[in-house]
Amino acid sequence: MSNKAQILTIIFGLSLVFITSCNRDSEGCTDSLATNYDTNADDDDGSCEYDIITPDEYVYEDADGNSTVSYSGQHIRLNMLSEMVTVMKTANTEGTVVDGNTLISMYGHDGYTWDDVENLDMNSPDNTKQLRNKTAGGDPTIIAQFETWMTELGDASTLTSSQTGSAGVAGVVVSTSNPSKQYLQNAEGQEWTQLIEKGLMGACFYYNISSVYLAPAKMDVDNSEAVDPANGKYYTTMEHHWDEAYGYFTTAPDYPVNGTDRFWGKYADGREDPLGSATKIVEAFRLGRAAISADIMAVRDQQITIINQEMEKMAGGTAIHYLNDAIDSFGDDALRNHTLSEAKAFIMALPYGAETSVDFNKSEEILALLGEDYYNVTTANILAARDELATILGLTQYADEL
Amino acid sequence: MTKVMTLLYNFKTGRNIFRPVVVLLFVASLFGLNSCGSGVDDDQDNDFDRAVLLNNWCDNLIIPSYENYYNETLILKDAVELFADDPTNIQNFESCRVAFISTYLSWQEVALYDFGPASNRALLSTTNTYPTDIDKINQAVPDDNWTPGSPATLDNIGLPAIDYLLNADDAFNQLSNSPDRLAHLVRLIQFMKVEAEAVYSDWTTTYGATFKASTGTEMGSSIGEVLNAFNKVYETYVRKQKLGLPTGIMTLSGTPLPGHVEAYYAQNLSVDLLASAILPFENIYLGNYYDSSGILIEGMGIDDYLISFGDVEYGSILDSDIKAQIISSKQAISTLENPLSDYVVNNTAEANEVYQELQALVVLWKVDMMGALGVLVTYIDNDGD
Repeated sequence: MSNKAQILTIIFGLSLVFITSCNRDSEGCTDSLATNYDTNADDDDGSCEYDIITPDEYVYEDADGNSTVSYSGQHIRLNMLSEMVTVMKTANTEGTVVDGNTLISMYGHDGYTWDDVENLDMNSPDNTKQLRNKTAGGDPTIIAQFETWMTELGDASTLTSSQTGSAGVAGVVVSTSNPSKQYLQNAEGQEWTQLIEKGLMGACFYYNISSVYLAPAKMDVDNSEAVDPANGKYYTTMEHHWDEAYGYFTTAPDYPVNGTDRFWGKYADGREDPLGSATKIVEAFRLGRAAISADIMAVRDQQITIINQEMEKMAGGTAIHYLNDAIDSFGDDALRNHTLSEAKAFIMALPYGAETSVDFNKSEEILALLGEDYYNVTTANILAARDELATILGLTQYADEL
Repeated sequence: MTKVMTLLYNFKTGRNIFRPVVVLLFVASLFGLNSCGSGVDDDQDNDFDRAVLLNNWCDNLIIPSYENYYNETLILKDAVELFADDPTNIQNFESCRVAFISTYLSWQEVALYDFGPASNRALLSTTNTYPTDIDKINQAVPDDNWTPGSPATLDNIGLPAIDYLLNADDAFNQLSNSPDRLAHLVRLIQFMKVEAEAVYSDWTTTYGATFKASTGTEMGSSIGEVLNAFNKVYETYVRKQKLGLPTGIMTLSGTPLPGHVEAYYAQNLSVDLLASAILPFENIYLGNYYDSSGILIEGMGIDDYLISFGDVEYGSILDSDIKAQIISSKQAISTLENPLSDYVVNNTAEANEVYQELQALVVLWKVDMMGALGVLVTYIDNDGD
């Protein structure tokens, strides 16, 4: 009896109760789109209710049944990063050399031939998509940081046949508790692959979700007509921008049934317990998109706020999770360095949120508590960073559990 | 459950012909619910009162053990400082050695509580990482700026480092003649005492109450924390480190590694440490402890929890198997001889048989007991990248 759609009723905030007010305005819902629109009200009390049909999956069609969803560009970029990660991880095996210039050519989609496992025509001359120019809005300093890491990874990989990683020495470090786990790390124990992968999840994917596509410049746009129906573009400009944000989060329409295998979709799923991240984020994406199609901007804006808040909690919660892991494997160089590198990259990602409570300075401050040398960190350092982060993000009650 | 409800609904309104099928399905689903493990779901648990279990563990086993361990570090610290004041007095030196043995034995009583306060300070790693790196110790001796606690110091601090300084050949003369060396020994025990005190204090001031209040069985609950640490420490730090690595059974070549025994330099201690390491696992399992007048009290333990499931395979039958295997393991350990570093080389086959007895407990505890209790094994945390 259940179908693909359910009706959600949105109740806007609970009214501000009756603040003893001098004027005698009549209070009520003043939005004519609301189901409880009160024509007599001239002072909105936040009680508006809307009926919006939200699908169970990220699937939207126009009145003629044409799909209005498209995030093919994001799909390609996620696959590009997946391929980069695969290549970078080969350097975790001693003696396997990775060319830093190859990584840079992948990053800039400049002369690299992709495996393109999903047949997205990634090698077509028409594919101009790249990760590089979408990194932090093209910020040259940030881009240079990533390319430096790629070069360093490549250089270090040429040494791994002759030297093992340890304090002060770059190389592959093998876990003592689980020898199947080994990672190429720098002389201070930082792992380039993690800094690059999770770093780009922040500077590229998260930045584009939160600070680009869900930000006013891409949201205050036309929502009245399809962009180009003759060429299959049945979506409005606003709908399309929303889809692009979604595509940087996950490319699975049925998330979290699928799409939990990589990038933000993976870590949101990882923080489902205890933060409810995957559910909250994907429901906000689906409802916000439905609100756009119903042209109810108040609901859309509320979902933007939810996405921004929950993405931040999820990214910060993931950093806390890895800091806890680092303490658990404190005596195991490979695992401690690995998890600290992951934590670092997630902490570095936080400032890319549009409504972040961790700006670049704050992010640096937290990382300074850890220090740069992961062979010289103490459990007190890690706990200090963890607790500072938890305090800022309001996650103190989950700090041990995450 | 939804499906069952739907079937019942059909049963009421449907035609007779559907009835047998529906009833069968309904009964099958009830049966399925019942058989899917006692304790897996909080709501369908039996009457076993986990709060009593947690109180017993906390008040009668964990906190007293930490108190004892902390007191032993204090005694060792005092002994070492006394020796440092009068470095040519061999009586003072001998007192250090005696206190060292008591401290090492008392450490075995707390090593298994590697969660919460201990885990937050990496107490296991800072206290007992061995083999110790004697080159690093000798480098640290003259270094005024040396500080313990970072990962790079883990294999040259704690009890194994103190073992080396107190028990290596010519230890007394080396300490007597080198103020730096003696001062380093003081630094090592001072650090251990600070860490022991901090963990003990966390338990008595804040964590103990938190611990008792978390009565569920889910991830992060107190039972989950205790039992995951219990299994992890038993598997890795008792079975593997104390015996498996030294006998060589854990390595591909099978070559014994005598230098990997615990308290290598003391020579006469390794087997005693292994024997005493088993006891707290037994105590946590049985819930037993000695009261202040030395009388054995049989408190609530995991055995009572298993027995509460009834006379079934994963109830009292499993409990009997575990109790029998604890006895076998203790008997097997008693056949080992100090110095263990010689024994694993000269009697490798016998040592491997003892290892097999210890290994049998891993299966019973980690697989069967955890499954029966419905507590998830989370300490193998593989997120795949």
